[in-house]
Amino acid sequence: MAFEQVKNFVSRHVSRRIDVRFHDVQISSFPEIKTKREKISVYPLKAKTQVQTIKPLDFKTELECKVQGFKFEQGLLKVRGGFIKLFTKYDFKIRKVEKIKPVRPKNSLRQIITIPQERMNRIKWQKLRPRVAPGEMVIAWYGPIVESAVLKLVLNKQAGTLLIWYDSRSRKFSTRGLFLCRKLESGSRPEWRWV
Amino acid sequence: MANNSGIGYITIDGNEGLIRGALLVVDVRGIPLDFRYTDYIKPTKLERILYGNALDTYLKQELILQSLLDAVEVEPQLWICSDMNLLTPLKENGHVKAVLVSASTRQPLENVGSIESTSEPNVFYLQADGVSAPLRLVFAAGTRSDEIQNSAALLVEAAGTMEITEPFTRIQKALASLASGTEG
Repeated sequence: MAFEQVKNFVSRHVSRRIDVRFHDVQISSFPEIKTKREKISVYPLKAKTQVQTIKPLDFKTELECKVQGFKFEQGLLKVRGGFIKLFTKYDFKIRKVEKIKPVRPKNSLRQIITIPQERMNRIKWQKLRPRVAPGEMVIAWYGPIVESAVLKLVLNKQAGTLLIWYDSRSRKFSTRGLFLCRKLESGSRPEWRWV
Repeated sequence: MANNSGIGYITIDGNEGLIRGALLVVDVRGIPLDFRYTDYIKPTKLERILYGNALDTYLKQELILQSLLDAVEVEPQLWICSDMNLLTPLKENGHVKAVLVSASTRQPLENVGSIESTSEPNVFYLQADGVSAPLRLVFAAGTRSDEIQNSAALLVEAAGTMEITEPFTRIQKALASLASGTEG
């Protein structure tokens, strides 16, 4: 080392030269780059509760909650409940369902006697025709009607039917037909004819 | 026909669990001799469940029909109904002949009084008068031919003085009138 220093001193002052040294710098290896990954395991925080049998159960002391081996402390869980008591005494009455009671029909003969009988116009079926004057036509026939028992006759113009009120005390039974005729003149009124 | 004989009309109708019945006995002129009717029967929900499908039959055929027949004071010679299901119980409990009568659209038969059988059992056409289409008659199973002939003869006789199916309309009018009177 001393020799080298002397040599350099002499060379620098005498020949005005200095040694230049070369050193090949080589990186032998790069540092290893690693990604920092963390594996996160997610476990459901759900307690598995199994009902094994139906029996009076004291929830406060026997219920156990475990998640992946982690056991919750009983004090963290608020479980409400109590013993399930079985009925030992039934409080009900047996009632008998009655059969549907028979109905008591009402008598209303007076009411229905006031309702008139109704005859339809059967002119299309009636082969007989009354004698009509020239210019006169038959437009309806109603029957059979017990003429002697009739109290009132009313023509229902809307329905084209004849309403008949009979005297219920009448003993007459012979029937007739009632034609409704009309002259083909303006202003003429229909005319009833018993046949 | 004696003037004290009559024809009985019986009808039992209703829906939605409301059922009522009525009967009208008229003489051959259609003049009322007896009229009975029941109020509406409304089964409870429990009764509907307990009776099930038999409820309608029980109410109509046993309860209402029997009550009406027990109440009638003027016995007719023939019962006429408008419901097929009433025929057999009416024949069994009515003590007289029973027939279901309805109007038809068939062409007139040859003569008044003509009766014609059809392809259906116990169903006939009867030309009751000369001024309308034949009537369609249905008799209960087991009705004898002489009973059918007697019934037809009675209907022909009555058709000479009244319209055979008209009293059914009057019953409905009377029931409507009574109902409105009660409500009012």
